[in-house]
Amino acid sequence: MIQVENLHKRFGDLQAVAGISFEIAAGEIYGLLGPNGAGKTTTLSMLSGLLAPDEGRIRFDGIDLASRPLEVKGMLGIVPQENALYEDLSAQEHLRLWGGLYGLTGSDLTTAVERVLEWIGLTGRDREPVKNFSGGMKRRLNLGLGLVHSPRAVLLDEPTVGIDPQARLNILEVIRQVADAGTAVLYTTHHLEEAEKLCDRIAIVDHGKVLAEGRLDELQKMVGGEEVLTLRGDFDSETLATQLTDPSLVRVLAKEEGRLVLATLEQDGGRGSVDLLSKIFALGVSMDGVSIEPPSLNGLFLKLTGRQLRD
Amino acid sequence: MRAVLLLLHKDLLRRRRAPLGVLVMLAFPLIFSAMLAFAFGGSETGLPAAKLLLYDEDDGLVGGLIANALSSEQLNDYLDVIAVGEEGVQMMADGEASALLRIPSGTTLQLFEGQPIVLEMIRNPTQGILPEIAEQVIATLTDVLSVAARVLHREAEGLEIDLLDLDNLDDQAFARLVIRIRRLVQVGNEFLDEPLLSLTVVMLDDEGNDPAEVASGEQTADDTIDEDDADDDSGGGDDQRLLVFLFVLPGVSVYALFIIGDQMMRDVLAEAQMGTLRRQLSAPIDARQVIAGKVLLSGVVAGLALLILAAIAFFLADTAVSLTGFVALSLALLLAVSGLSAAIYGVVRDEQQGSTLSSLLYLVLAFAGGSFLPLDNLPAAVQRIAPVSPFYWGTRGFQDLLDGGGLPEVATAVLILGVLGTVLLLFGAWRLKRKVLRGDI
Ligand SMILES: Nc1ncnc2c1ncn2[C@@H]1O[C@H](COP(=O)(O)OP(=O)(O)O)[C@@H](O)[C@H]1O
Ligand SMILES: [Mg+2]
Repeated sequence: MIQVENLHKRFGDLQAVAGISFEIAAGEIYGLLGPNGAGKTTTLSMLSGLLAPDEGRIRFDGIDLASRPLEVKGMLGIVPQENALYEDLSAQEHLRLWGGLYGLTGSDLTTAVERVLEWIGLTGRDREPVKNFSGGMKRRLNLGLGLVHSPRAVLLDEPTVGIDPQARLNILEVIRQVADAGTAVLYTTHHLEEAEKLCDRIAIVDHGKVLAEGRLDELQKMVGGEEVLTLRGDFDSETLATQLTDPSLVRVLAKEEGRLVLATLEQDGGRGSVDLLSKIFALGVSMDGVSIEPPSLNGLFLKLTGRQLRD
Repeated sequence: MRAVLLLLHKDLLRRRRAPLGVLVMLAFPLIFSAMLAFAFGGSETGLPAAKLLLYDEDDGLVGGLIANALSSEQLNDYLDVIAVGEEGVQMMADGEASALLRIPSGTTLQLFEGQPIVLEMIRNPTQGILPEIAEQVIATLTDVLSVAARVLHREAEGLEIDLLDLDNLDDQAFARLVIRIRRLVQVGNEFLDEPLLSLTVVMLDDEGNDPAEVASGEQTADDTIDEDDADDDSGGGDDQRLLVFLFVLPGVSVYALFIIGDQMMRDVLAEAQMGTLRRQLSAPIDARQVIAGKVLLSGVVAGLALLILAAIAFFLADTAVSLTGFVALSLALLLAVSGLSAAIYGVVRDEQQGSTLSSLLYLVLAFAGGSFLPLDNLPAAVQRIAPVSPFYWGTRGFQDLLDGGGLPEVATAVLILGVLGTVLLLFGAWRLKRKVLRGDI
């Protein structure tokens, strides 16, 4: 349904997207998981036809976005990261406007609006101006506006940011429902748990690149039995790294002033970390803290980037 | 087309829920015309020319320009300007003159340093409602001058920026752009300043009314006699005011239309900020439809304003105004108004840049086009370039209609405004689309 090949986008000196490719099938929820600044929004803007890529190709159902933008835009539903709402208009007026802009009229429009209102739980509050709404209600309306015309593909940019757990649950449920009805869903987030829970496949992105991609179980396999250790303290990372580096036991993922991130290679039953730690203590290094990340997506991200997802 | 109407409907709903801005815009031309009428009208029925003392401590560019403006022929009937020194203060105390305008030393310098300028005015003690108006005008004048001064100040710092690079329009490049526009229409050094000072003229004329009362019994015999005449014949003053009102109404209306177009088009950048512009452009509609929606919005608001103005002109003026001519000219003007605003907002970086540029540009174009003062009273250089300003065609067109002209008489104006507007609108839409595609919005 969605095919993205080798997307690039540069803003001045900053390479925001550096060669992203993926495909999403109808009915599939595909997650772009990455920290702030990874290039998720930029990728989505290019997919929505708002931003011209420097390089690369985007197709929906085989139709090239660059050559037939209006046709493609008509098939898409967009849910931007920031709420894009008019404070003085009601939910009803918003939904009718966007439904209308995507070509719905008459009773089709009315039915579509009622259906979405029910999904997002705003039936009964739909004639109040948006300025009366809570943050969660606005977020839900922001989502609903991308769904009203029953798009064949939906692009969602961190739709659950900054809301209460109840509203978040509602939003995730709606997205699942939409995908089950055969819509291709692209979901960006920096929340690991959300990606794990919601997405059929996940791409881990950072600095505009896909670092790893696959189903949750595939990614977990990539994590392997490796544990990731982060050491903090008043030590010289460079020296400590060389002292520890026994390539059969340990890999250095990141080293900076007072911080060293290591991965211990697979040992039966997590022995690797224990061995490594005893070695460190034996060296008499002054340390403020150690954290051990068991095999998980977060550990995978740390492994791939040397950074925490929520740094 | 349906998309455009949906966008219009949305904007009309928004305005209806928050109507204050629109109401102010609708009231503006009436209030402004009435103010000018009150100020200019009613004093000519035999009143003596007000004696104005000009105390120019500054002795620089500003003083020279003011003196120049005040001595213009049109004002001869109203004002008798006398250059004075410090003794002027004593003359005022003795009731020998209507008012004294003091230009403090350092004013010109302040102008170039980018500081706001306050011109000082001493009036005779007895005051009616007119000083209130005078104060309003001074405030406006001061605002305008400080914008100009800020721009000049930036230039004085010697910034070297390539103006033609419209895509990287930072503040400094922007300042230079504004300066170049000034220069372009300035032709010599007098142009922008003179119109600015003509606002001062309005104010001084207000003053001219005051001393007539104070002067009773103390002034020369001539003055006293004339003043009595005026008192006997207050109806004549009202007629005069009405004439002035009708005379300035077309120009002020054209100016008001540009302000309306500006406000409505500025909404594009406001929507860019709200994120709703991106949302619109990710739907299957393009930038031209978004712009078209704002043009229709301007059309509705401007249409309301024109209806009000037409109704007033109809009741106050005796002539029947040609309906076809009025509608054709209004539509062409609407295109020009929206086009100019769309072009401005397509070029600038943000809303603030846009509003600074447009308010300066509209003021300049309005003066150059004879919207505030009759062209005959403007310098010859300005008269020659006036047809460059869309305000010229709009003002002239409305005046022709008030003078009994019809569609044939305004056809040239309609054509010029229509073509100019269409070209600028297409340019504005193209710039907007490009901005979004490049990630600038
Ligand atoms: N319009 C823009 N102009 C310049 N830089 C931008 C623009 N949009 C995004 N960036 C930069 O590109 C990088 C990626 O941003 P973004 O795609 O928003 O990341 P994410 O959505 O993953 O947080 C960031 O460093 C951001 O500052
Ligand atoms: Mg983002």
